[in-house]
Amino acid sequence: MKITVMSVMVDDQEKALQFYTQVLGFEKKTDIPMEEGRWLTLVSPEQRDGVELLLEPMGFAPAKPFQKALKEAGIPWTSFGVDDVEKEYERLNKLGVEFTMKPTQMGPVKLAVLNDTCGNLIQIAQFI
Amino acid sequence: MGSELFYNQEVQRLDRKLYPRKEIINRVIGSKQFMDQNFHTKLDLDSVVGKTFLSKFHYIRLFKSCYGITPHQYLISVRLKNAKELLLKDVSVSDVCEGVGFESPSSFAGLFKKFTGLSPSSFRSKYKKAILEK
Repeated sequence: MKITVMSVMVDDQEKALQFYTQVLGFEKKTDIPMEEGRWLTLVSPEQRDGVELLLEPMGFAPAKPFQKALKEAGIPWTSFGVDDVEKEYERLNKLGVEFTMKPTQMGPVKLAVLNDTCGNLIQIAQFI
Repeated sequence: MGSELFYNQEVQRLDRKLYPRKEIINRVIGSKQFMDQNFHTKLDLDSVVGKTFLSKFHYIRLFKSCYGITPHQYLISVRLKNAKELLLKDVSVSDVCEGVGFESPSSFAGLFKKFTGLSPSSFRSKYKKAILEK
């Protein structure tokens, strides 16, 4: 058994595709039309054979209040690894990305949390 | 939105609770960064521990509580990560082994297979092919 896909639920797949590729820098890997929405996955250009990120449409109504509650508490949906949180924060800040947590150290980890504009907060993290 | 959020407060609370002795934690972080910079040399645990002025047992326990793995496992992971990059640059397997600090080609090959599931040469063939096909 392998871990091949992880997902993030988004309120608008096309908008999410633009944000996750043009702003965060991921690349589209698969795009398969489904009955509702698309099977739309991304990979990191640093790991093209790595785990895919599925931009999952919010087809299941109860998911919406769950997503909203997480965001209101400032809890990230998931976390991505970066080599340098400070540099990535500066880069994304210049692109107009909203952060709910600026680079913050917690023991041996540096974290920051950004708004993906599609209903989620996303953490970026680095072991220092 | 900002520091008043539940999550942000929890991160600060956990930082205070889990890592109260900043000066000690900074020594562990320094030792990890020392391994990041010197993995290609003949590093051993004693030389890493020595820089922290902690007892070996205490250091290993602290390192594991910070990074989730032992310093030895971490050093192997850094060496293997760099080995993968060199293999994709067509450096010979024996030069990769020496270049990332492993002492013997057999222990390098064994660890590489254990962690990646492939031998060094199979890894190179598989991923070079994937890059060329892209």
